[in-house]
Amino acid sequence: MKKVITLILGLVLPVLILIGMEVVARFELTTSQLFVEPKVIFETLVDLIKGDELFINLGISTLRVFIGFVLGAAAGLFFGTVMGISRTFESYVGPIFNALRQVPVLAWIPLFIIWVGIDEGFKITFIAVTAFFPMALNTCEGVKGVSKSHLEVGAVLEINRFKQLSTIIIPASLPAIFTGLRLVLSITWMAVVGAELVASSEGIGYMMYRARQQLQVDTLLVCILAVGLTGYVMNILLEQIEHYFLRWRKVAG
Amino acid sequence: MDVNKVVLKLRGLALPLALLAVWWIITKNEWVSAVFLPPPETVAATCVKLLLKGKIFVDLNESITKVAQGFLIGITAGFVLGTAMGLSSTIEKLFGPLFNAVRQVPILGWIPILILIFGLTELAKIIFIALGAFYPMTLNTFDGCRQLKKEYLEVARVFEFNKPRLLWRFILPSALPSILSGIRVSMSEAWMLVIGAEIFFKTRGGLGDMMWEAKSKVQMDIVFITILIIGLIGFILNHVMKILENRLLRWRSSN
Repeated sequence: MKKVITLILGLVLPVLILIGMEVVARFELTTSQLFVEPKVIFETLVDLIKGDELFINLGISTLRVFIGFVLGAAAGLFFGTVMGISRTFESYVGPIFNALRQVPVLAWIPLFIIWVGIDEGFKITFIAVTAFFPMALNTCEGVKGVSKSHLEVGAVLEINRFKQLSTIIIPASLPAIFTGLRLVLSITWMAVVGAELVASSEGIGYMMYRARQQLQVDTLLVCILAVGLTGYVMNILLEQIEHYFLRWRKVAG
Repeated sequence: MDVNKVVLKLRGLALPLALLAVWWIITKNEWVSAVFLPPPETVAATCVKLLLKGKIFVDLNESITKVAQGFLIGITAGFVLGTAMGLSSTIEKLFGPLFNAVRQVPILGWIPILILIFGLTELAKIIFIALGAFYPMTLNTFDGCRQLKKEYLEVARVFEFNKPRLLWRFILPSALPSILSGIRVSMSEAWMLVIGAEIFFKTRGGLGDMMWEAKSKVQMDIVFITILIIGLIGFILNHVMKILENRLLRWRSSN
């Protein structure tokens, strides 16, 4: 019963908004061509789902995110782990890493466009760089946070460095690593939209850009919905993976 | 101990100096075209020239004005919604789902529709920045409000505090750390988005536009300098906020 009430309360505002739009449409309260009836939005949604265009563009963007994500996160994971383990490495590289981290990611776009061009390479580089910094930071902090007593147990058992890494350090910093991954996922999903808005001829960002130029508010709204939903689904997938990898934690806690 | 610290500091300088040396050698021998990688001395000279000319301060001022407006609107709205949702579970159930749904859309995805509705205006950019500041502020305020310990609530009940007093004396102070970090996150988000707004809305004025124009004319030295300045200001904003946080939260460390 309580759940039903929660659900109903959550639907109140969206429904009110839809009713408001319908009222505006029925009584012709506006002549703006930017205003679209809920019915039209729904029809566009159905049309776009039936057609290929939306899914092709969404697929292209998802692929870009995936490649950039994997490259950036892998580099960040490696870099962060080394920085977390070795104080010497951190003392050399830490300051410049922290300095570069201060630059808001969108400010790298012009530099990358000059150096890499505006093709696929630019998008992947940009996405990978936006993934790298938060990933490296979270991993480094996770590795540093590994409890001393665990490391001491390892020392007593005289395991070698590699084993120490694979059996103690990495498992213990997995929670922090997954926090990093989730953060990175939402950032890279934003970055791909940004990269495609700047320079692209395909992808969901480009579809939005074109819809804006052709004043297709309905298409634009459907794109926004699709982008939000895809991000949400990817996040849930990652959460499932996280649950799977961290299932030992529940037993321990 | 102190010697160790000095050594650490010096090590931190090693890599930047090495990079500078490599950069200098590359440009000296013209292994890479100066268009893509201008020599360090050119960048330094351009930097001095820009600072003397003063136009950069006009752009800087424009960006900061925009950030300030969007940021203030965003954190005020976020504070109100966050507190309301934290205090009343009915409000949370009403607004929570919609808020979380809207939040799933990557912030840059709102740009085309903002341009359609508001045109390439200052207002569109300010709304965009405000939206970016709004999300983290709402979430942090909401989290903070819910962190109030049960015992405190009981004390308040014993003293028969009314709601405003409860809010002012108990809830807000215990939510303060979370609210302050919300403000800091919102600020760095707003600072990134003003650059984004100036790039994506393609309008005149501001550091983002300066950067974009330099990109179009392939003036790499100016691109470098603007990145440096943008990073530096982001750093300063963050740092000032952290100092403020420590000041305002001093009372906490005593217990």
